[in-house]
Amino acid sequence: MAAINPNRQLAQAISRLQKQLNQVADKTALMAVLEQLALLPQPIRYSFKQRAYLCSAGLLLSLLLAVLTYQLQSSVVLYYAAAILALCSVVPLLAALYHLQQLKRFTEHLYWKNALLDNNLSELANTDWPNVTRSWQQQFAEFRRGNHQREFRQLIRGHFSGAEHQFSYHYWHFHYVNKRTQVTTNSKGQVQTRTVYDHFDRYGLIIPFAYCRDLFVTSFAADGITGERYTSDSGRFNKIFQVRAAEPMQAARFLKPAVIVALEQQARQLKQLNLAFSHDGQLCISFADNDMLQSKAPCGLDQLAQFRHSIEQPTALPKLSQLLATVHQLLRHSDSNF
Amino acid sequence: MGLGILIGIVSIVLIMVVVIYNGIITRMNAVERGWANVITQERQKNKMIPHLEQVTEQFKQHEMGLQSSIAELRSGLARLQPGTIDTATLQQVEGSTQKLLQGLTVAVEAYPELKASEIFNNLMREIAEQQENIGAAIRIFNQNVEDFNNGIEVFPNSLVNTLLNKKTRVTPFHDSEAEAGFEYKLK
Repeated sequence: MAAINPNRQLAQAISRLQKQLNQVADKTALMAVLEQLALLPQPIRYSFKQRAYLCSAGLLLSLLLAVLTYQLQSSVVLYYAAAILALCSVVPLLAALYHLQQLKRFTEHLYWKNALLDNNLSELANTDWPNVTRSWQQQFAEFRRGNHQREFRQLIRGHFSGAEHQFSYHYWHFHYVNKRTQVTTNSKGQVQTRTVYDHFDRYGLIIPFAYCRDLFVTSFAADGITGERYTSDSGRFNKIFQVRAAEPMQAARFLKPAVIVALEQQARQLKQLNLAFSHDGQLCISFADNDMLQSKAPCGLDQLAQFRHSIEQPTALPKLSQLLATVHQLLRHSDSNF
Repeated sequence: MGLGILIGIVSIVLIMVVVIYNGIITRMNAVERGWANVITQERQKNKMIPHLEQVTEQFKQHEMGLQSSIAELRSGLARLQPGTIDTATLQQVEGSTQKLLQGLTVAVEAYPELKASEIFNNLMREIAEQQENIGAAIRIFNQNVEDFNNGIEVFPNSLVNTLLNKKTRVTPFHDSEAEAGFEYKLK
């Protein structure tokens, strides 16, 4: 019986484990994936050295053949032969690159899934999205950005337990497209118009917040935000944020000094930070940073023992933890202690 | 042509002077507003004093010391005025608050049932939040002071201030104990 090619064996395993990884819902299931990885020939990596040499030689030969055919003005058939040889050399190289990329994506996905589990986060199935997002789109101007296309690309549910408050929240990724017509005049004075699509992404959290309503603290305001302007006591806060509220007294009550300083500090960590408190008691925090849930594995699967050790340790998402701590501070300073 | 350029230059200089002059006034107003906010936050303690007096009555062994700390705090709060930036009195008030909180911490150790009491814990939580707000108000005041001081000392603002505004430097508030009580230290 012929031995199985190790590269093919690895590719099959990765493709099978990827399906299993998509179903993982707890740490035990995640560790089971790692157990199966441990059964594979170690270290877990592709070996394409032989293929790389052969393909390079093939490419070199095809180039040589093409040059010689040109120099000697030989038959055009030789050109075709050179092209076929080049093609036959490039395709295996591309296949190798695809497998390397697939392994890298699998490793990243595995580590990301681990980070979600360690931080009480779970991905919502696409079928649940419309039920969750319908009311958000009515409540928040943030989701009315874009005149051409609007869509949610990721929804993750989480839970936070602080010293005084605990709450469930949703992390979201929203993509929107603005369509505009660009008019240009060329050197001959001819006017040309073309349609341009600008793509943007916003990220954020939705949290129940019963202590404050109809208030907007924005550094990147969306259209449709209404209310009276309010300025705080801090010159620096006023440079970063614009505050609008249905009742200025509501803004004054919410923006206690400790809240102002906490938001000033948070604005240094997140770009284009907005806070919108809806009429229905929901807080929408939005920003432009895409690395809120990013966590990089310290090594690849080729060092499986070290990789497993890092999975066993709690994985921190510092930006998320910091933002949740700030939300906890806001709740603490908005509630009543008596 | 030459006259036009001269008028243009004079106009630009005049606009710059007006902008700088108004900037200094705005920053001074921000300092005063920041100070008024510190006083407002400090005076929130007045709401807590009756509750504290009620609680300290139960600390028979420590009552005298705590009552005198409360009296000291109350008189300090009365001396703070929103119109006068008086960082020395603010420092005394913060000192009295720290003394009172330390006294409370020592006293409560002798009464474990009080330590478990919800009302007492709520009171302590409220005091802790007030202290955080005072720390933050002081920080905002100091930021506004820094912006104001920069606004009158950098060139050409210093020239406009010497000739027109005639404002002097404001001393920021420094109190290591009050700053230590402030918890927002995001890494």
